[in-house]
Amino acid sequence: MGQMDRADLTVVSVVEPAQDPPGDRASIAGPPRAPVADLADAVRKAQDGDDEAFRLLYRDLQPRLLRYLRALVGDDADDVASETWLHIARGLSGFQGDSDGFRGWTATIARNRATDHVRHHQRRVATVAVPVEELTGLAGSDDTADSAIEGISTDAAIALIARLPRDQAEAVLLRAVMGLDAESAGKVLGKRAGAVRTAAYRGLRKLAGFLGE
Amino acid sequence: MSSIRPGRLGRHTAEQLLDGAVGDRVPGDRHAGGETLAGLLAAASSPPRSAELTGEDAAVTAFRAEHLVPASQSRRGQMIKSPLAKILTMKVGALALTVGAGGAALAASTGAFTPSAHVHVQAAGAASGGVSVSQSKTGTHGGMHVSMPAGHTSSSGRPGNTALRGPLSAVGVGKVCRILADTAFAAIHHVNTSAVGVLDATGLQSALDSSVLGQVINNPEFGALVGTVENKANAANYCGLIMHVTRLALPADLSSIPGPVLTAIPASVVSQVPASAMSSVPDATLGKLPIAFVTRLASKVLAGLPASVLAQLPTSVLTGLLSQLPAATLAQMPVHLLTGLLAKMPASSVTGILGKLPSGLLSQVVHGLPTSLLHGLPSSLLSQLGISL
Repeated sequence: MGQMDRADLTVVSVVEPAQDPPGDRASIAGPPRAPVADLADAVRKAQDGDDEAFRLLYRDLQPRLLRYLRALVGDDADDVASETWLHIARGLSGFQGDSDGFRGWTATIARNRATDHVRHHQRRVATVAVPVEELTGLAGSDDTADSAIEGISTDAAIALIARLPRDQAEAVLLRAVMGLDAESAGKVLGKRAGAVRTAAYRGLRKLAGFLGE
Repeated sequence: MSSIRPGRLGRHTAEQLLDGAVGDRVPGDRHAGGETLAGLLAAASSPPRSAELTGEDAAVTAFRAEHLVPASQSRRGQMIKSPLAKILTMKVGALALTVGAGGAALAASTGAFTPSAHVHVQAAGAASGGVSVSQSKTGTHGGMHVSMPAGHTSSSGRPGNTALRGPLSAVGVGKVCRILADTAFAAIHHVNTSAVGVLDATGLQSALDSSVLGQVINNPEFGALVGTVENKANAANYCGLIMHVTRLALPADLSSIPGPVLTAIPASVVSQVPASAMSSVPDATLGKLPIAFVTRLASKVLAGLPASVLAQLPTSVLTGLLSQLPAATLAQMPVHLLTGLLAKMPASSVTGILGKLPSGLLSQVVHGLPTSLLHGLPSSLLSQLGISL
């Protein structure tokens, strides 16, 4: 299910990263990463019916889920994310666990929704057939200024990760975007932590290859 | 041409990168793609962008519908996949066709849920308690059994709603209303309910307003909802109220919802009812609504209500509201009511309200105010009215 179409994966003549002047490395660590907040308090309050706490959860998790789903169902990510939140709202009262557990739980729901979605629509997920050099050159107009400095937009980064084989893409996204550790990501994927580490490692190597072969 | 050689990326560095633990640079990996990868991963996990959060209100609407009562009451049975939830996976057409044969036939013909699935409304639940929606093979739940008996066929070709009636708690109604809206929406758009997702305000509105709702609600699964609000037409209005749609389906019929049902809606839900929903309700209908319901509407909603309705409200509610009322509403209020309310307020607030009154009314009201309050009013106002203290 949901296998990504690999036909357009030819990565051609990758440009040298424009932001890579020698000797100036300390200042180019990239845009700030969204901190992985402790959501335990917000989860408890939301379980007691607190709207504002639920909004906090949404604001933290929705962008992560959306980006993860982008790799699983492409342009249908918005729809599947909406459905995911319906299920989160329904199941929230019964959730037990800490902040990491909650992230993992939502990722599992998103993944299951994506699986159902792909099965229901019986279609392969179209990946964006944009050459890598365009992706890396895309300073996202809607991104933060910091991101623009780095020369790659969030959408382009996700699109690039989505080009990885499915298991590698998921491992990278669950680790780096959902903010899960290898053990938690393994629970979402039904794999051992070691398998997640290996898949993520291979994914990163391949990404490095995309960026600078 | 590039110095980056992917083969040089170490496992340890990879873990660091994934953890976001890489600071300004990757020690020992200057040429291993670490920094470029760090930039890529940072872009992938950058802080939320506004375009990614557009579904927030829809998600919160879904959340509210699920959490209308404290979690201690609503947690029961939430994780069990309910027959109601399974309706979501059912073709609406099939659902409508088999409705006449009752719940068991419905289940058997669609295969979407097992014939043993029953909805139990616990007798102890009543208006404020929890509703247990669960699957049971035996049907020996301690509560009141509201699913159709197997093989039951009503002579009218419709589900026997009297057999399905049972009080639903607010959380139960919230869930059922959402499923009702989802199912109607799916029917309107000829899609499977599982494809509906989280309806936004517009979607909810179109679902509750649609003529399809009248058919969808015949499904026995909505019997408990219909029983709670006494008839099918009320269900659309009631669901509209608790899901905060902007326009009720049948505003003129709002007062036909049983008073205790309206009064039992939690204050947190009533206060979210939009002003536009209430403004479409005719004055005569508003006048018949339980005061306990009206007083819990948000003040900006109250401020839009006609003076005849406001005059019925307790002075404690009105006093807090008076400063927000528009001049036209104030002008319609009975003099004695207005005078009585103003007499309880500080002079500073009274001055602002008096300034909104037409001169004829102003004179009558001021003359009715206690002398102690008049002392706090601006002398210019008093002299204008020919009052000397």
